Amino acid sequence: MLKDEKRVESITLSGRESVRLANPDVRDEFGLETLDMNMGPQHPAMHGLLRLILELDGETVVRCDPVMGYLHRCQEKIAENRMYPAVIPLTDRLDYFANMHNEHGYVLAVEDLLDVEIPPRAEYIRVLMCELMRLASHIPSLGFLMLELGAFTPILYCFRERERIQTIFEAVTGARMMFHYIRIGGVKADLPPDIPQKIWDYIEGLEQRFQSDFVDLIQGNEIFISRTRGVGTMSQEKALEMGLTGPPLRCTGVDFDIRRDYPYSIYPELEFDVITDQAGDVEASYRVRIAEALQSIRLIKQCLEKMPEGEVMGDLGRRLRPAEGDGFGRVESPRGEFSVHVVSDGSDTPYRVHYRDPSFCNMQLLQEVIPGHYLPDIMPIMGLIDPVSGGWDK
Amino acid sequence: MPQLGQGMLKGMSVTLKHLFGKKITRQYPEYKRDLPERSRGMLTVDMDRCIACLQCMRVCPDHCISIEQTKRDADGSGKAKPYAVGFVIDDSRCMYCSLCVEVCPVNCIYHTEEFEAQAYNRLELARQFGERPVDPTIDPRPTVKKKPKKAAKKAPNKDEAA
Repeated sequence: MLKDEKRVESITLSGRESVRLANPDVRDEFGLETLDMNMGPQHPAMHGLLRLILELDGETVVRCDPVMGYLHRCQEKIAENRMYPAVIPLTDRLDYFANMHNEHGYVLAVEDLLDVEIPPRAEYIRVLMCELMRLASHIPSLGFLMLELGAFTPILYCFRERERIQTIFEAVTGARMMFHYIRIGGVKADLPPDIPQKIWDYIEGLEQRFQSDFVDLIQGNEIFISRTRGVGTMSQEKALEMGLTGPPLRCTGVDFDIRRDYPYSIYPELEFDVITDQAGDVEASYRVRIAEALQSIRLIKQCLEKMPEGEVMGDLGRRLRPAEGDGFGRVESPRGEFSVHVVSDGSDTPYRVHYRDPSFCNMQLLQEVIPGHYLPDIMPIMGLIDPVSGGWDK
Repeated sequence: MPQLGQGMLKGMSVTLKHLFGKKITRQYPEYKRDLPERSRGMLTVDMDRCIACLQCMRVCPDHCISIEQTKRDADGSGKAKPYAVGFVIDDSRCMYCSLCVEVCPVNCIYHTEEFEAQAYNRLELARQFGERPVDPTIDPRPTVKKKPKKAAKKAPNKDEAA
């Protein structure tokens, strides 16, 4: 456990290297110094390019400072020089495990600005694609968590499922990851005629495989339980204080989901449960993700059953010039709340685009939760957040 | 109380089952799967149909299309019409967003199924389609600067966004 509570508090709260540099001779009661260590930015187990400055006392982490910015691409500034429709392919490159949700968030913000009606079939296709994307993000995130614990097999099974979903995406949108499918006023094109049946067959098969391939493989495993149960535990108050969203928030028992609480698109017409868990540790976040994936399957089935016929793209004219003002769009991405704020000055390029990415906002959990844990517990806690470096660096 | 190791044995039985299942790995360079119809590969231009309207050049967010335009009586109608003597697509900049394909009024620019773009030099990826080569390093459409007057007028909004 922590040796010197007061000192730890002063350092973790300030969270700056300068504090430590100002007091280089701080020692604990045994006269031993702590060890500073860098984890990342290039570390085989790290999620993307993240550097953690760790202060270690033996094997216990005393302080953890995440350093971001190794993948910063000025996405928000580039968007200011582009016309409104040309920003959509950029949003694909934010959180590259939730491309559809990024597109949807940006498009909702611009539609809020323009105040346009979307054809109902386009709304259903958007939700269908977003829920497939959620499956394609939640399933590999289980694999990443297991890979970080040293189990190699699950990630192969998870990526096999993701590959199949990507094949569906490729047939619908023309690309495997950078879709550029959801457009301002609708979607790019209608579903190919054979795709609804293909999605249905895939979903039916996945429902059967889910228990055998993921739940049986992972859930009861003793190593998995001993490495995740009680690791990264946080209280509801702490989670709300840190402004977490998505599975890291829901695994503490807070019942919050943008899809239900701030409904957008056609979610009010669909039935689904918001999954919560009480434990608030890594194992709870794993259970939340598994159950959410099953809810996504349920949503996809409803979308396919209820999908109306009709147009998929509204007529907005050739060149978008929204009136002065601002638009806001928020969606529930697999990692939490993704919201976009677009400010218009009346020209054909946005005056300002701001993205709130869940990977970035959930990252504050590291500073608060990791101190007091052992060094090998860092990676499961990263698996709890499941951040994507394209998201936190933008 | 479950026995220790039971969960692990259960997991191993799953992997054992998969060991005898159908293999799904494909040997990529030897085996190439069929791409779907909508697949967005490298761009190509049918120069016979191009009317040099420059819309693809203007819409391209990455400025990867450069066109050199002249007036020429290409179809023998006696009237000089815009004609693209030079047309270059710089694949090192292209992000395959297909905005140019959607904007083209005569459908002369389209995606092929080719997706393996590699070269030793960046300039090798610039593909020329016209009679005359165009320098792909020159930005065909420099970023338009916004009028400072308008930006100053909307300054309070910036605080809202930040």
